[in-house]
Amino acid sequence: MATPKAGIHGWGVYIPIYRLPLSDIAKIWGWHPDQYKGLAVESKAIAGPDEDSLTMGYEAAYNAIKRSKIEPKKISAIFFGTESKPYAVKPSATIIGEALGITPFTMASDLEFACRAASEGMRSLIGMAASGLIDYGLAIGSDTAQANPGDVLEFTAASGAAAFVIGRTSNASAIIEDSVTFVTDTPDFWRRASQPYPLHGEGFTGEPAYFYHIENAVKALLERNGLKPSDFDYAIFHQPNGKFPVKVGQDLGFNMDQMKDGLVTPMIGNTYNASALMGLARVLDKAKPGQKILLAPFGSGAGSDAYLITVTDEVENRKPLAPTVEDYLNRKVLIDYASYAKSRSIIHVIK
Amino acid sequence: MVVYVEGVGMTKIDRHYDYSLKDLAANAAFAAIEQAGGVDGIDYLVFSSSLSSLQDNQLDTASYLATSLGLRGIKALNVEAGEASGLAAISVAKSLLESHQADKVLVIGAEKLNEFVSSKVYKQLQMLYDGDTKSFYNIGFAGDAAILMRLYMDTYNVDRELMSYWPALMHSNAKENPYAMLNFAIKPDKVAKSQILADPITLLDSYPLGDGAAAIVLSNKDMSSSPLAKISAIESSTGYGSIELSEDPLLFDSLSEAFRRISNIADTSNLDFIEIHDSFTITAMIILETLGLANRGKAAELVSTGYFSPGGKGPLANPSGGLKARGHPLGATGVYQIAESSLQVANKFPGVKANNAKKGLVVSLNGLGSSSYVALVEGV
Repeated sequence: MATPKAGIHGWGVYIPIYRLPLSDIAKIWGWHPDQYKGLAVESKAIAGPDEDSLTMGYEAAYNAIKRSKIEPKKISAIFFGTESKPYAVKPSATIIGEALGITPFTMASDLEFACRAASEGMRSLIGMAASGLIDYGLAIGSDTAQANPGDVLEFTAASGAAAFVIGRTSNASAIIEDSVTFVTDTPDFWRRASQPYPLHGEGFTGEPAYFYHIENAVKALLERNGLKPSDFDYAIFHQPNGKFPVKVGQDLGFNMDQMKDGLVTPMIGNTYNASALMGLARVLDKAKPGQKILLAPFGSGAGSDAYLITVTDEVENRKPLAPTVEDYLNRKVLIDYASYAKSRSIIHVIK
Repeated sequence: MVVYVEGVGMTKIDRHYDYSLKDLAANAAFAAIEQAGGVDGIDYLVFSSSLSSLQDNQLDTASYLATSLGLRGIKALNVEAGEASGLAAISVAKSLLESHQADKVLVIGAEKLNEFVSSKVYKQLQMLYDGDTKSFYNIGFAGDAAILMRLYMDTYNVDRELMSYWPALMHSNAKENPYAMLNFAIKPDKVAKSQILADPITLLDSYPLGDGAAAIVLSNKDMSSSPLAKISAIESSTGYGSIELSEDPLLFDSLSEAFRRISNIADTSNLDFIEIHDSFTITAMIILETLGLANRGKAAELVSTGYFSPGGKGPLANPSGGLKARGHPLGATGVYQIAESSLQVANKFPGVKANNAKKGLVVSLNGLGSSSYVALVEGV
């Protein structure tokens, strides 16, 4: 059976303007500088007081649709992947769909799988587009990631969004040739219902979770396509910090030249559902026709996807149609811990 | 009376997420039993662990463990003495053999320090110190040792950098030990620059949170076939374990007394190696000085000259890498120390070897010396 293929028609991201230097977090909580320097992240992007995963998801999707050059009404599935949804019950996907003019004849739902929910949405859209159920679908990953103040997680939990219009292969900017998912029941990171902040198993989030799942997904993809790491021009991995993606890439046999363009976390922190997908957007901003991309998002709980993507000639026509990841990275205002605390509602106000 | 070490088993100390306490204990026990030539004659299990009953919500672990190991019917007993549990268990086993309550004893020490997130485990580690005066007031895990280290450096005018040679030596030794958790080298100048746990104690002055199990099979002379080593003597003493109560906090009173007692019944001179309880750099310095292996205030300097290093003039210190770098799975540590020392005198230790070693001293204590245990391990 031929592998179902689908195309990436448009891509778009959104990064809020505010940046909090990690040194500020260390200063407030009394961390030793080594504690955050090992993470290889300089500062993290912070959603403003009037932003949330919904507004950021809208911005990213708006950019993706512009690049796709299609009418919003032609989109008939919206998957919104997040672990920071403004409503626990009430779909965010319908709000974004309505704001973008996609509703009412569309599927719309919010997905949850820690940091890889949006990627699961992408895999679903591949099948839906390849089967002819839909012409186009929208996958959005957006998070205003939460972290308990003072927890080591606070250094990297950041805000940002990435979105992709997925459809049939004709006239696409890139073709998703194949994809693999690898999941197990691994409780490395979780947030119970009604709890404000997630908990994590410290070292357990590394080898048995992040590395184990990504390595297995990627190896399975390479094996069944008869490919080796050197066949790729780019390799992008989920980026909980600046260190893990480089290590997992090197362990799998990729080099820094293949990985550096897909690394965004060192500048803005971990945007959770947008983390690896923002790396893909940045690579598409630069990639040349014919180039091959490996993409491997990861979500705690735990699972990883591995995608084999080939860039088409059409990519050049789409690049200028919306702001690039670089545009958003360069657009920044440094804030201090107090502004971040107010903006992210860490300060408990009695009303 | 002398008891014989028939076999030893150890697991590598690591984050063993995939193994339960019983799994680790079984791995170590089966290796020890195999080396001892089988289960025949083993009639007692002494099990040592500090935190497992709390972590696993399990009491009488020794009995359940005996049955799950296939040894149902033998006698079994738990021993808990904080960080000194392992050597305390061996001390109890030796007494059982001496009193002919047992002919062959399997001693297992096992601990999982990665069972919970570190904040919870560090809270549990506070329980090693006096509840009334320390943990009740939430004095942190390294807090007391930090005060002791400050006092030591101020009293003897010892430079922080001089203290850093001990952790570097431990890592250098552990690099060769296949059972060590931190088997990589560090330079002394890294120690002071690492994260502060409780000033002046840094991360590299302290031990890693590791999971592990060690086991030994002990017998009396009648039952012994081809032993690896003999334990000539074990002694112990209680003490203040507290800086503020102690008349001389820069010595461990319990260790001083335990060492005096063992020296009365055995020849503790001409040691080829020592395996001591370096829970922190400062603990190692005080132990060396309490044992008289270094002049008071001079241990750090002596370490820096290579006196305790492989090929040095003094006894080889912690060829295993010590608590610092081999690791310190609390209740298992004393059993590791005896297992390693038995292999040393049998010339079978798979890491740094003490040259032609005949005799080694093992020191284990809880906290800052609420109790101290010393054991003399000799070749046969």
